[in-house]
Amino acid sequence: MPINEFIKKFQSQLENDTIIVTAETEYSNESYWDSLTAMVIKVMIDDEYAVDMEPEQITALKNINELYSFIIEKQNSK
Amino acid sequence: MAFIKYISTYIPENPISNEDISKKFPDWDSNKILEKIGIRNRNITGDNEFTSDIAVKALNKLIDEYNIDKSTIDYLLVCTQSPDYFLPTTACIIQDQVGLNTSCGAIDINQGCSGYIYGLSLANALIDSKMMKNVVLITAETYSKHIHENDKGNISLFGDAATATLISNDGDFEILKFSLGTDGKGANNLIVKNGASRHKKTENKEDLDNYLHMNGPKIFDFTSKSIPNLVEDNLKLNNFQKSEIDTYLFHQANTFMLDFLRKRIDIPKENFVIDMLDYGNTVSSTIPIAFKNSLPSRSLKNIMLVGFGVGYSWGAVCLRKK
Repeated sequence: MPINEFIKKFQSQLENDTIIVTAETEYSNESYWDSLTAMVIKVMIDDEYAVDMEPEQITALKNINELYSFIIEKQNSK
Repeated sequence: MAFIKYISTYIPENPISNEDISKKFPDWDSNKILEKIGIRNRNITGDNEFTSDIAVKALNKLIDEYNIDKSTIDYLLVCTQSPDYFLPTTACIIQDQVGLNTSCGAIDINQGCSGYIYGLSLANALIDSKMMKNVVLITAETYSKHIHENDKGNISLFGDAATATLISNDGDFEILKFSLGTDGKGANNLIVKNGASRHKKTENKEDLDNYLHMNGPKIFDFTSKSIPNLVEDNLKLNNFQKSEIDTYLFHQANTFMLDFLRKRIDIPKENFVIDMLDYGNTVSSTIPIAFKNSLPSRSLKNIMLVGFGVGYSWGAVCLRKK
């Protein structure tokens, strides 16, 4: 499933890349989440999906599922 | 041909530890500061200590450490964004305080985190054109004076420092070709808005435009987009493969950004210098401080220096050990 690819990419950006991430993970409530991590995820989304998001936007979304849907929606509307 | 011959550094005497910062801002965990930005201590200038004072100390140290006849210095470049005055240039004050010849040229350049690269590019041109024989490049910043007393982020990040580098027609490290760049669209993202001609400094102590403002995410974004290409361009310009550079010396912005850039550019850890634990981000001084500290501990052959930041401004150059 394409979301699994996204989860892998998300995971690989974390300082501790053994952390378990699922579609339901509410990343912005996790202890690793801060403004710097949001920046790294922003750059990954820009690189891999050509979608430019503000870090605050990423933080405001509920979970990985929502974030991934947002990216796909943006891609489709291009 | 021009060479980096000698470097000396001066760190001011007032330390601020992470514990000091946590004491003042209890929600700011001292371990978290170290973990995230790789800084344990930073030193700042005293209330009556200014840029020319620390610059003079760095230059006198260079003269003493390497037994330089100061009458042979024929040009002084001072890179600073915290000059003593609007005018005259800080370089003129330093020339007098150190006792350099009155036949010595002396100018300031206003540049931040890319300033060491820009200063080297000018020094290199002066020597290479045979106009001058011995150029001293000083980097000196007292950003602590630009930071609001409650701006815990920037207090944690920045330290004050000065360095002096002698660039000459002989020496150990040949200066190769430069890549430089500018994008003034980012001007507002790292700025002290008030205090110069356009906006006067206001009396209101809480007017944040009187102080250093940094939009961290925007700076991060600019860096992540521009610096990988800069490195690639400069490697090409100097006919190096990435693997032929044994030492990459980047501006020490913070360790989070440095780790991110290193991975993004795919530079092996052992070839990438991180040296800011007890200095913090000292703006234009980070590269010469890390370079000087690397001399005894690393076998340096082909080196790349990379600076980036306020402006936006960026630059890179390779050096070759003779």
